[in-house]
Amino acid sequence: MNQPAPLSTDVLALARDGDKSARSALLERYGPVVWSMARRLTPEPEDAYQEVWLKVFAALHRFDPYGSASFSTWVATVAHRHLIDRYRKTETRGVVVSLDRLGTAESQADAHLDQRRRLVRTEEALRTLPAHARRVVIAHCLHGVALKDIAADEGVAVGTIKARLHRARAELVEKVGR
Amino acid sequence: MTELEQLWALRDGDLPEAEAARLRDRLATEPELQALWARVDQLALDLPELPLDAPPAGLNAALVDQEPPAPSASVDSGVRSGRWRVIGGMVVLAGAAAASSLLTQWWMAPLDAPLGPTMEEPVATVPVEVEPEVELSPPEDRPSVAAPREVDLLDTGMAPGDAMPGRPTRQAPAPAPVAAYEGLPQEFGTALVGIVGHALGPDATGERGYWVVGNPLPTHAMIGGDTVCGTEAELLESRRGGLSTAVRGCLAGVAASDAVGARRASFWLLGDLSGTPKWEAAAVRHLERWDEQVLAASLAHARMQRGEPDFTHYASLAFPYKGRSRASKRATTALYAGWREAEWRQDGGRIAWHEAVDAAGLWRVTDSAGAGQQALWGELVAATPPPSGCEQGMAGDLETRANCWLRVVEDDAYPASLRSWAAPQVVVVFSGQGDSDRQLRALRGHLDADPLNADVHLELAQLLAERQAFPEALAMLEQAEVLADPTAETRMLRRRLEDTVSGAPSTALTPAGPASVEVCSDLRALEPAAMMGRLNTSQRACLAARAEDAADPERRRVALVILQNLWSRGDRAEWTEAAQLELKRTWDLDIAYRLAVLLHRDGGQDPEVVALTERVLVDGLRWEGQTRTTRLAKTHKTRVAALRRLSLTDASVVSELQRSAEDWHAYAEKTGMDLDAALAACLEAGGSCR
Repeated sequence: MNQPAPLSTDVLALARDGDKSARSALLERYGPVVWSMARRLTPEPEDAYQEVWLKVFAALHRFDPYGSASFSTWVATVAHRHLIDRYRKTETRGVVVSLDRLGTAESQADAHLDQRRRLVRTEEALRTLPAHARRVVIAHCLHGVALKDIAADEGVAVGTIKARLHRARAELVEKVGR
Repeated sequence: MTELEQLWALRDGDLPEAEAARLRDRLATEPELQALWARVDQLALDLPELPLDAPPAGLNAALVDQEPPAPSASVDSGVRSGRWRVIGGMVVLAGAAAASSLLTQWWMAPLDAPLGPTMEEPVATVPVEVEPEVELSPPEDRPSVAAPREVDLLDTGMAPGDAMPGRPTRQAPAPAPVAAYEGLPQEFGTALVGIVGHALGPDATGERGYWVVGNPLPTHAMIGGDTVCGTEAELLESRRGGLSTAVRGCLAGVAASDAVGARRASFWLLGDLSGTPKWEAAAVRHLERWDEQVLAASLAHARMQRGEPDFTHYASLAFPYKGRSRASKRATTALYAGWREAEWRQDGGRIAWHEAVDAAGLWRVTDSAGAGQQALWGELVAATPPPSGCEQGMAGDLETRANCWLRVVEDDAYPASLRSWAAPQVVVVFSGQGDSDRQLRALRGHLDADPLNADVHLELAQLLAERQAFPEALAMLEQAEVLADPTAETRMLRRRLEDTVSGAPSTALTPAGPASVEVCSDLRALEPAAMMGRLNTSQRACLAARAEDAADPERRRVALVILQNLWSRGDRAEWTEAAQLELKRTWDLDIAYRLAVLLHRDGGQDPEVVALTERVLVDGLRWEGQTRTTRLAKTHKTRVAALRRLSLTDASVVSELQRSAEDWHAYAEKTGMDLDAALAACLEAGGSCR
């Protein structure tokens, strides 16, 4: 899984106390985790990215560095929760998407590498999934958010999330393989 | 549950044991299910490998500079408490009343600005109004708003029709940000905290309070560091072009700064200026800083309608536009066609010809269908710059015109598409006059412009046969056969040529007969006969013996003479056998290529074709020039066709088929050859070929 290397607890403590360089280090290392989720799950990733990090900074004192979840997974969980909130808001209000934000992964693809091409296709297929299915796949398969946390955030049973996950990945296999 | 879903469930251990056992049994015996399983496995490996992208520059810096927020009660790592849902509901209720007037404004505002100004409309949210007891001076009185509308901070200094000097830079202009509403944010935010806090209770002010103070009204008011340009209600006035001077000035200042909200500020301004003469200048300024395809398309459209040549520049920024709707696709496609056509005109109608024609071809996706293409094509032809000396001749009598067009066909300075278009007409004219020399020249020119056209090869072969240039005719015919499956016409010509050759008396065009060579020691003397497929039995036996002798320094050349003789005789079965034997002894790129094509055509030996083409595609890089392009394209095509046939019975080659089809498509795209077929094959194979 694409996960950044773990961070020392000192940095977390400093960041919690508002140290700018420590926060900068967090952003540097875990920014891609949040950004990747934001750009895949919301049409306004810049705003979402900043909002997530404000929440993360505000809740740093709640993160247990000796707990079972890595910081990366914890950040992804916070991000997932926030993005669900955003989705619910936009779902009711509607949003106008800037189209030039779509398709960035494609341009970065090296068409001569098999794996890269597959990943590009996967990325494209991901975009076509319904929002709730995409959220589950991205949060769980890409960022390791636990299914029970996803279920809690989504307000549904774990079994429902599993069913969504199986269905979403089946759809992905079909779309990627076509 | 579908089969695929079951497989995923099996993989995750979510399937009941009995069901899982049944599926495992099936997996052990059913190849189709195994193939599905392989795809499931592959995706499971791929998903975590999807790249993590770094956020755009500047986002992190803005975050680090934010004051640390108060610890939030809303974020924890456990299950969301029901309390926030209640609070959320209260927000909605509290905001609903205040929202009603604004939402009314929102929906009643005219959606007048096409594309650009409306593309990033802010979403309506629960608005938060400043209560009357908070003392805010009216916008006009606020001291630090430096840019009243009349000053026009957006004036780019461009006059209509000014040419744009290349793509605009993305460097932000750097006027000092306007410190509008100086001293306001804290008070303003505090006021909002008060209101929200009042609505939500003290527990809510942590997160929401920070939100308002640290990043006031992020979506709807202004987000430029701590600059607040106005309330949401004030900003919504932009929908009807009614921003106050102070707000407009403030937005212009933020838009010109490097603040995070600069882009959004610029959009607010664009909305406000929509329908006014200043909109274009604002759009130009916006595009100098940000890539905005829809806005670029809108601007290009406006400038094109006024006939201003710089519209092409903005059209180039707008294309390719990843539009979702058919209408937007039509609009940008038309822009693209116009852009290419304009480029072509500026270029004197030479270099960009094919691009203009291609662009016109894109009109097929529009409602104007072939009409636009035909019109543009006719116009392009009429406006083609004539070859020197033909300034009058292009409009002269039929023969003069044909002679001038012949010069176009033969001149590789002209675009290939134009030469290919003109050649058949020239051939028709000279054919009617019985002038085979000029027919030949036109056909050769056509072939030069369109080297993969099998019909031209065949036509040239026929003409050469008529002129009794039999070896050349045969060679040309072979090319035609390689480029396309044999037709009745090619078979007939081959028979006629072979009959003619076998019965033809020795002429300048035919080599010395085999009777004059009694032994096979002099290969040079045998080669002309081999070219004609006229080696006799004793010569063939002699050569076969030499080909077996590894110590013979000319062994390889001997083998080539044998193969050439077999090929020219049209003995495909024997040639195939000899070629396979020779390839076992020594790898030969040309033989391998020809063998692959032949085996594929005959069918039934697809695995060998796949193996051969794999190596040919690598070694084929040794070929040079047109031969390389033509043969590699053909090899790609052959490989994909063989794999496609194999995939019908062997699912394990599906991924290889995809890869090969993508490679073919990429190669065709790179070399400009046979793109339609490559694209169709790629799509059919499920490859990624956009």
